[in-house]
Amino acid sequence: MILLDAVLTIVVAFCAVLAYANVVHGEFVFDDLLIVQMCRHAKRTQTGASFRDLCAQFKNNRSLLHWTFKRDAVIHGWDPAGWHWFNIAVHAVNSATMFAILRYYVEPWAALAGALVFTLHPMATASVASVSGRSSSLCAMFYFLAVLAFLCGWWLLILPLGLFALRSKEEAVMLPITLLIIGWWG
Amino acid sequence: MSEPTANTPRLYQAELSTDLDYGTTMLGTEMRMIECREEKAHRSLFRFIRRWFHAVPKSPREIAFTASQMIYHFIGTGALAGVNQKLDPDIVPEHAVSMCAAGAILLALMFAPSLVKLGLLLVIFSPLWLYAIPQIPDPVMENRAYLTLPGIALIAAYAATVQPPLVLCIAGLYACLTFERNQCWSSGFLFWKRASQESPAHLRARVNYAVALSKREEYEETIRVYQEILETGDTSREVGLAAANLALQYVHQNRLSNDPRWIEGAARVLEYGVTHWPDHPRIRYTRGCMFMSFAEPLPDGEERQQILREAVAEYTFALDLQPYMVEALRFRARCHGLMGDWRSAKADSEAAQKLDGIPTVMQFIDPDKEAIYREESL
Repeated sequence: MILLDAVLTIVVAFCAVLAYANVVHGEFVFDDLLIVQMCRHAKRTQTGASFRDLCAQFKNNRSLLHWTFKRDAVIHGWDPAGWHWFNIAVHAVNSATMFAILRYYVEPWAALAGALVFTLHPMATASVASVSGRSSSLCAMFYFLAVLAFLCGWWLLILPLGLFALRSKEEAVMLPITLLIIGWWG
Repeated sequence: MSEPTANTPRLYQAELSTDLDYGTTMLGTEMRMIECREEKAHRSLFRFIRRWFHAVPKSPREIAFTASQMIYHFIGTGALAGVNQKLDPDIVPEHAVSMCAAGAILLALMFAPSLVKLGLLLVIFSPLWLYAIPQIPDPVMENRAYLTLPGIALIAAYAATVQPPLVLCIAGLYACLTFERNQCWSSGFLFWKRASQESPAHLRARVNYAVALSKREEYEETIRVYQEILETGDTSREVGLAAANLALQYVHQNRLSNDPRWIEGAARVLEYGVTHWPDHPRIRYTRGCMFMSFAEPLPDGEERQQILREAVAEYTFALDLQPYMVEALRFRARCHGLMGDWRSAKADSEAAQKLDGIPTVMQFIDPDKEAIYREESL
């Protein structure tokens, strides 16, 4: 059963990569341009203080998110492919975590179907195909991991994961309510 | 069991009693006490909600509770949509339809099994769930609905226990839709084209579509789209931006064709723009560009200097409204250069270069002043 779960987890993650393979070579679009401009200026000034100042012009409570942008600017430069690969990897992790969470409630094949619905839903396109949409998917990654930790009884991990989610996007403020609902239902 | 004696305490006698009737009575009392506690627990709100989670509502009170939840969410999301519409101009009235659809779906699923209810609650209590039911066609708003997907996945997982082939078919259909949807994120032109087609009332999308068209040098189509936006009669700042960009297109066409009618058109559009949006930085910047295009063909003289001073005033106004407008700094530097004020030209060009790292190409009428500028720049 563990082997089956592991195989299905890999299948779900692989489906996530396959579904979004065609966005790798896309341009920077929409709010991506603001992020690139921010990172260009930070790279030119080459000081951490300037990057912090620029973060303050945007959403300064998303420091973890901005750290990932800075990391991509340093590693990949201005080639959109590297930035998009990071987004796809985050979505693949989210899909695998989603499978693990669903597996807590239903049988493996039903969990696979539910996880595939999550992975392949067109509503997730903006969060995966767009660099600026990384805020939602990165927040969701830590959010889902916190929920999984709650279901598995790993209490010590919930708070740090929740804080990472909150430092990615403010939506994570709903995490306690989600955990309350899940605990109440259980 | 030993027989009770006269010295045995009465309670002890009762405990030691083998009297079947008395023992039964004691046991019965205890049983009744336990039942009373359970009844109280059942009557408690917590138990009631747990029962609702795990059963289809049957009793009138359960149905009333479920209905009150639906009405609460319906009113709550309606208020939220109303507030959001005031705070965020990108939200369009179609979201009100989505809210009604969401309310109808919730009412229809009142009698759904418990796993579906959990999924629905996870959808409802995720932020901005309004965007997930039904799918909002405009790609601009979608990324906020990512956290609603787990609830939908849970509902799908339950459905897969009943009808797995159906759910797998839906997943396959979603895969095709996603693969196709990804195309619109591959370039700004495709993105804004789709956004403007799917939400024609979304003026920001149409303005950005026109900008994407101008980058592809499809100027006729660009001008047509901007004119359509102006004809809506809207007074939002997006339309102000459209007016500024349309005037800029006319100025550009004048440079290409040297036809004065383009400049007259630009002047009319900018007059309309200044009337409705006097503090719009792009309109002020475009007015400066228009004055520069008036001044550049003229021979050096008082008339040219006067028009260049007006251009500098407009650029300065734009920079007062938006201090980091690189183009305004750069063109103001060129105006100063054409006027012979090399110090101001140098200051503005350095400020522009500091913002975007691109050096400003300066042109001077006076070659001596140009030499001084180049010397100082080195």
